[in-house]
Amino acid sequence: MKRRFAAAGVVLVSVLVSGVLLAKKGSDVTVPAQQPSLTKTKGPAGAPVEILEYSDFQCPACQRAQAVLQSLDAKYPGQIRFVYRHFPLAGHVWSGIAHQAAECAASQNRFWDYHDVLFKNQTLWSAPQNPSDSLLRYARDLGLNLDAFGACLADETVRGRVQADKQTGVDAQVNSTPTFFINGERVAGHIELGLKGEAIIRKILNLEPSGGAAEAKSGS
Amino acid sequence: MKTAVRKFFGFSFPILARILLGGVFMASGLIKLLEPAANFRAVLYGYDALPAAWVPMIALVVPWLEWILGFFVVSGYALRASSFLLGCFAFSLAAVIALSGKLGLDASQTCGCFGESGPQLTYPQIFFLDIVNGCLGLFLSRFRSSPLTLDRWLSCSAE
Repeated sequence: MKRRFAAAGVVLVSVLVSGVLLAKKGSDVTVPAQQPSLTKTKGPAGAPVEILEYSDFQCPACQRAQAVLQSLDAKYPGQIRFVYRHFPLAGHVWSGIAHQAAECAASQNRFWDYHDVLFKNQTLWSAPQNPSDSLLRYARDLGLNLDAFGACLADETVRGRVQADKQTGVDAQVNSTPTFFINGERVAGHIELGLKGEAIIRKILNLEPSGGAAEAKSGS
Repeated sequence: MKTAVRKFFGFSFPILARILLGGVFMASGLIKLLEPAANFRAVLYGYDALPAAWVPMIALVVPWLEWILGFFVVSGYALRASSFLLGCFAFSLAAVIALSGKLGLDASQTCGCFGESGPQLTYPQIFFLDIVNGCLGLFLSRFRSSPLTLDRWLSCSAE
């Protein structure tokens, strides 16, 4: 009886494991398609390393990741091209409007400045009150054309552009933020970026490996 | 009336408990297994309650345990052991959430436990679900025999 019981267990586990492996094989993870955007990229076009970031302006981990990204940029100047894609999470109430505002700043070629302001003031505009006033104030402080900015915020097609960005992430099975693709290699979360990011970059640049864990601590 | 209550707790409730406990873990495990492993690693790092060096191993093992033990509980294979293990696991998850301090976050913060397309549960909700599942697991592990289980079928067919 014991042998019969054990045999049944082996069969069950084999079926369960092979079922998952077959399903995984059928749904190979894609790397996000190249979608060159001049306004949401930073760094030389021919840089050997590309860090594609899916990020949510209301996500605290995304804010912490900025320190790691800045330290990588400082450590490997001119070697990294940063690409940003919107990924407003469903659970974050004000993400949608914040991303739309950043997209509007992008249409005035000030995406990265606005991006920095949003992360710097994240706790302020993420408060329960509607952040529209704060978002307009940040635009004014950066010297953006407020008429164009206001019209852009009300434009449905801009919301569509944000969602189109997000969809490229959904297609690549991104489901948390921040998620990075360093020359196509997936790194999820700011802690893993700190732990593995530099090692991946050094490998791409054919440099000797070095401890990247220090960056993780600085970022977390 | 007494007979109806006894019948419910002796027949229907254990089956419902198995479907809820096992089903939640099967769904959670399968979603994690079909997604890139990096996604679950990010969730674990985010809790700040586990040593970073353990995270890759935990992220590798936990989804398989959830999937396999969840199926064992639903089908009633090694039910006492598998429901006890899942019950303890559910209590451990509740403890990790409590230790990470995420219970105090506002309602807009969701745990992402079932992916971006799945149900968006807040930390208090997932904490409550884990406590319920933990209790169900311990409840099921008390029964020597439960209705409609592989255990019963295997022991009958062996006689």
